[in-house]
Parts: sequence; structure tokens; C-alpha cells
Amino acid sequence: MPDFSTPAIMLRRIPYGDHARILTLLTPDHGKISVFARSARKDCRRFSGALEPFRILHAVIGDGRGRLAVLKEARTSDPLEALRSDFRSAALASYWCELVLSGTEEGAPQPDGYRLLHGALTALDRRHMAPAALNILFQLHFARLSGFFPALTRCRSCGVALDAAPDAVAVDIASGAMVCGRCFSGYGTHPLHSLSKGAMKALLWLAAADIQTAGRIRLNPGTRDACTRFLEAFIPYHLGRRPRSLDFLTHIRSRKKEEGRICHVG
Amino acid sequence: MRCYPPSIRRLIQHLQTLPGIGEKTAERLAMHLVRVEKKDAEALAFSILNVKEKVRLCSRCFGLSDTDVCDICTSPTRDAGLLCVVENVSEMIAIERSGAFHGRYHILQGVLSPMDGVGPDDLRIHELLERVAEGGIREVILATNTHMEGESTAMYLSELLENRPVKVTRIASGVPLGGDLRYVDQLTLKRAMETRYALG
Repeated sequence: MPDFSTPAIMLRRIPYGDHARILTLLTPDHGKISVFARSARKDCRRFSGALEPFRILHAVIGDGRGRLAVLKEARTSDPLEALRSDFRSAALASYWCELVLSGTEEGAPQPDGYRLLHGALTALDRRHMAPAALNILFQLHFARLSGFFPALTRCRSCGVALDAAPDAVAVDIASGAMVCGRCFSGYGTHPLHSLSKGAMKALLWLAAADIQTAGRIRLNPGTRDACTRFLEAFIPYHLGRRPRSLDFLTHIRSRKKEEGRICHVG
Repeated sequence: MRCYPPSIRRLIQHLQTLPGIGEKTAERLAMHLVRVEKKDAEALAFSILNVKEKVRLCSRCFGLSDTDVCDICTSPTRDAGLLCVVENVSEMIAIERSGAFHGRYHILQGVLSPMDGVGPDDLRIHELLERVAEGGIREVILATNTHMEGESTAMYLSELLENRPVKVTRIASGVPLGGDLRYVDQLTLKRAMETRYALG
């Protein structure tokens, strides 16, 4: 493999030996890629602070001796300064990176996935929209790109449209399909996640919006929390694992609620 | 390695489990131990056993100690009103070597790292809050590393401590002495410019 340079987002870094690290980067054209960063822990000068979690960087990657490619150069494109010093934002960014790590195939081009994560991290850092709404938006777009976007427009069982369905509705987590209140009882043993019609409509609006448009949508706290709970159950179910960052996010949300403050964690 | 007798082979295998020791280095160390006098080998073996038997975490600061409370926590010459919070023992030792700090320490035993599943309950945060609540501390210096996890942990702690009657400070960061500006990352340079000081 000849050397190539690429924009990249740091998804994960694992210490290797005393001085090196193995990094997982998300790039637009090479997708998720693992690289070996020699002396990354010892030599501050070589990568000069570029190898931090969720850092947006410009990387030069070359052929390694083994199976892993080698990181030859890395320069920070965007340090996301506000994000790194706010533990709530950092927890959200960790969660998104974990989703991308779990749901992205190694080596397959990911221009849309890269654009989504880049846009979400930048918006979180610059506070382009409320972190909670941004979290919902990111997860919806991630689900769409990963091929398991929930089908919320019609009842899976009787076919009734969302607007015409009775107030009580739910989503079948396994199939991602809406189930109306009339079909609950005979639906079988699939796990159902109850979700109001308002929350489903909010999900459909947000799914159709980009960050600029979504920033103007105001969600009431009940709808926002219901959408978040649903997506944080639905997406890990389809990825087959619960991201570790989700436990930390849950912890800081519950601490905020205990303190009686406004919970603005995504 | 087959050419060695079984006892030396066993020693080489054990030495190889130490960090940074490969097979060749393990062989060299083993051959050195074969050559040294018996009393020196016994002293080394005794030191290893002694460390395993005696060393524990200090019940106050969670640093390494041979006793229930370490020397730093019991020293009357250290300023009990200054508490420096660090990630691990190695950072405490680095600060001690600098000779710049004469207060006491609190060692968190790690930093918050959501992706690694390390949350507040995995660190010695509850014990830190208890120490502050006991009183007698006027300043808590957050000296976690300046990487993302260290910064997040410092921010988390500062929020936990904001309503307590202590001053909470963060160690400064900037250009290292003898450093070359060309190789310093942009965030560090930005902070160095923001926290510049007047000369003379």
C-alpha cells in the first residue's frame, strides 16, 4: 500500500507496549482503519497532541511491516477545544464514536458516516444545537446509514397510518416497526418499547432534517427524553452490544436529575 | 533455551513476564543472577516478597505505603490545607521529584474514560469528597494529566466541588522548558498565549 494522506477522526486508541499505540480512525475514503503509531506515548513532538480521542486530524498513513498500516504523520485539523474540557460533551462524543466503531465495517469507504460524525462533533463543540437534540439526530442518521432505521409511519400488524393510530403506540425493537395500540395484545413475544405518537413524529421530523434545520426544532423535555430512551435501546440492540459510554451517560444524567438541575446531557 | 537446566529455564520464563523484558534480556538477567553471590540473590528475593507482603494503599490518599497511612499523610511538615489530586502514583512521584509541592495528595487511581467503561464509581472520588467534607482543606489542586480524559475528570471534579468551602484550582499547561514552538500543538500554544505573564 503506497502512503496516502487523509482527513480522519480518532475513534479509539489502545496502548501497545511501553511507547506505542494502536489507533482506530474513521476516514471518508478508507472507512474505519486501524493504524500503528510508533512512539505515540513517548514522543510528544512527533504527533504533537493530535492523537486525542475524537480529534479531527489530517493523517499520513503508510504500509507497515505487519498487517497494520503505520501512522507516519498526524496534524490536528480541529482540536474541538470546548468539547474536550466538558465531560458531558466528551461522554456523548464517546458514545457516538463507540456506535461508529461497532457499526462500521473495516476498510469500506464511509463518506457519509465520516460527514455525519464530523458534523455532529463540530456542532457539539460549537453548540450549534442542544446536545440532547443533536444526540437524537446523530443516532437517527447513524441508524439510517447502518440500514436499520425504524419504520414509524404505519402499524406493522394492521397497516394503520401513524396519524390515524390510537394514542398508545409502541415500536417493536427487533423489527424496528411501529405497532398501534389496537395490535399490542396479539402482537406476540417481541420486545415492545412504548413511544408516544408525538415522539414518533419528532423522530420522523428530525430524521428528515440536517443539523442546520434540526437546530431550529424545539423538543419538549418529555418528548426529547422519550426519543433518547428509545434510540439508546434500539440502536445497541441492533448493533448487538451495549456501548460502555452509555453507562457513564446514564450516570451523569441521573446525577443531574438528583441535583434538581435542568438535564441538558444528550 | 533448551540448553539451560530446568531451574534456569523457569527463572527466564518468570523474568520474561516482567514489562519490557524480552527473551534475550531475561536470559541475560538470569545468567547475571546465576553469577551473583547467594546473599545478593537472597536479598533480591526477600525484597520482592517483602513488597508483596507489606505494600498496600494508604487509607487516606491511596498512594503506596508500608503502613495504613503513608509518610506524606502523617508528616507534620506538609501543608494539610493543600490537596493535590492526581491520577496515579507515578504522577504523584513526578510532582514530588519536582520539589514544587509541599501539601498532601489524593490519588484517584485512574481517570474517567467512558469508552473504557471507567466511571466515577471506579475512581476514588467519593473518598475525595469525604476528605474535603472533613474540613481543614483550603485548596484542591486538580493535577490530572492534560489529555482529554484528564481534562474531563478535572471538570467533573470541579463541578462536584463547586459548592464546597474550598478553592479549586487546575495546574497550568504551556510550552515545556527547552521545547521548540514548532512542535507544540495548537491548543497548548493557545493556552500558553492566553496565560502569558509580564516580565520585570
